[in-house]
Amino acid sequence: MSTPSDRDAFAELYDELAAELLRYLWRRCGDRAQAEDLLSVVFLEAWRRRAALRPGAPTRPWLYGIATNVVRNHHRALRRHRAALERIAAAAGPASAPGADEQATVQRRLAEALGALRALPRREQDVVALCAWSQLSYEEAATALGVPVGTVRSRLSRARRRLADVSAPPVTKEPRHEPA
Amino acid sequence: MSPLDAPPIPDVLARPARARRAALLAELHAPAVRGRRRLLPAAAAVAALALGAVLIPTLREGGGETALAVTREGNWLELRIQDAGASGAELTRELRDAGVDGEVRVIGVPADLVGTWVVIEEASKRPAPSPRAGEETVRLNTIDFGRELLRLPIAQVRESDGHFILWAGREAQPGEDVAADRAAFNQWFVDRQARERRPAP
Repeated sequence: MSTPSDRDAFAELYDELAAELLRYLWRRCGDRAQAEDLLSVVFLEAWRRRAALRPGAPTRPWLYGIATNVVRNHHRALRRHRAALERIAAAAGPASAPGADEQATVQRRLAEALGALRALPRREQDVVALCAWSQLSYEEAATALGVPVGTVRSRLSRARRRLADVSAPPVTKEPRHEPA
Repeated sequence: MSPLDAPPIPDVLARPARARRAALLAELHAPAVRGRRRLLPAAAAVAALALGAVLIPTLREGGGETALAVTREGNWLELRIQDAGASGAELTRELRDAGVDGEVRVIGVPADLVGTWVVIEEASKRPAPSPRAGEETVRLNTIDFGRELLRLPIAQVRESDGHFILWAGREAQPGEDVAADRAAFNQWFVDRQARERRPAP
């Protein structure tokens, strides 16, 4: 719908969830400027798909689901909304870069974390980013990904095992000393 | 730090730029992105508005006692169902009375979808590449599709080389088996269309 109340509802949704979605997108893509663009794309996509949201359905996992798809297909998503993003950038003026030093530190840590995350299969990356990084419940993650809750649990469990294997200290064998 | 721990991002850095908020919300007034062969999110819809000769100036303002409210709002044509019990023929007649040569069909739906638009499609008049593919869908996501308010860009209505097909939700009839919710309805509808498009053995 395109009534003023719809737009007001979206403005409220933005105020409520934009910061946490920006965090999620930044962690997933590793770049703050791109995450801001992707955040705009998430809300543009949500607006486009708003008729698909059932009345009373929770919006947070729905938006995370859209955000996850946007991350997965970010080239296509950015291309689709290129004109709107250009208008948004032009209207918003030059991007500010708060705390350049702090941002550099965050970027470095993100790069390390993303390196480990990207070693996982894509589906496991999604559940780690949703459940472990963004604190979505299993039910919310299941809604976001459109899979059963049990699938979220099993993917997260497999991801934990894989990540534990990767992050554990290497096992070395002591040379065996034969008794003289 | 374990890879399962979220890489920390201080609050000050996680605040989206304020100026972008207003610019983004301004974009939500605009119609959706154009594209071809794109179904609306709720799935597909079918009915026939052969919209070649649209008499926009004759549109009624407001709804009055009509089953269908057809109004012009800026560059948009807005369609709202006022009587959820109206028949497809009645809705279609009112659409045509308003100067739009078209058709609305009604279909049994879950209770929360009664009196709403449930599926929309603008189909090309060109032949499909194969019988299985059905008609080619055109420019669908230029339509602003809301459950209660359907908005068609007037330029598209005037220039359309295809036809719009609109389905309105009605109450299930006694003994009629309808889907439990919207998702189930969408899937049922898509399956139904696929069955209808399948060539006879």
